[in-house]
Amino acid sequence: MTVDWASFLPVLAGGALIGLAAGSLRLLTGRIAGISGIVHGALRRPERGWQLALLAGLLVAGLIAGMSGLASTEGLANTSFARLAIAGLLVGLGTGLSNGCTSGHGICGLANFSCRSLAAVCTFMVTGIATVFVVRHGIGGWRCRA
Amino acid sequence: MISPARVLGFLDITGAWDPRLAFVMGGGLLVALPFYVITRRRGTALFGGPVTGPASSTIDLRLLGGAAIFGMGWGWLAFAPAPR
Repeated sequence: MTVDWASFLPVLAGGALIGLAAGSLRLLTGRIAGISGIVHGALRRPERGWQLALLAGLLVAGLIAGMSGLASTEGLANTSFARLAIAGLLVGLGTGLSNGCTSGHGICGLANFSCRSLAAVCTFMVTGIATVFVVRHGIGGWRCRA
Repeated sequence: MISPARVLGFLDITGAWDPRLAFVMGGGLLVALPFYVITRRRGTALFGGPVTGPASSTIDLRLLGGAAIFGMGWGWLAFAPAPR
């Protein structure tokens, strides 16, 4: 594997913070920290502003992390609008249909021992991996420009 | 999770595989798990709210189809170009 093992510590710390956020939201308010669900909910069924408060906290924390240099700000800066739009549509549609995403199903759903979430996680992992494979290597002689 | 390079490294299992994203999710799950178990046992949240359950409990085409579509969008975004 071509990974630098020393970089695992911030990865685990980041994961632990996500878990702490989701866990404390659950224990304090009973709610599920599925970010896609919260975004969908904020747009379609706003409930006393808790969704906006959570999203605001999420964005502010990210902003602070990026501006302070704590987190790398590489990423989607050079992405074309078309790619963002297509991926965004797929993510929005997919999470709306399946009621969840990597945080909702992958962390909260699995923490609830949900078979539904396990099925969802396995499915999106497979299609995520398959998408990367097809784009990278083509399929049956057909290739697409990623 | 927002770094396309990190996501691509994780999803490209036939390439130079980078498992770190799994540790983000795994680490998150490990930490969240005790909170979820405690909340389930309590039945109510600390601030008194109801403990919300999942939207439904059936594994149907809508769930799997939605998850499949989400995965495609996720995999597609992983190819966002790195900063020059």
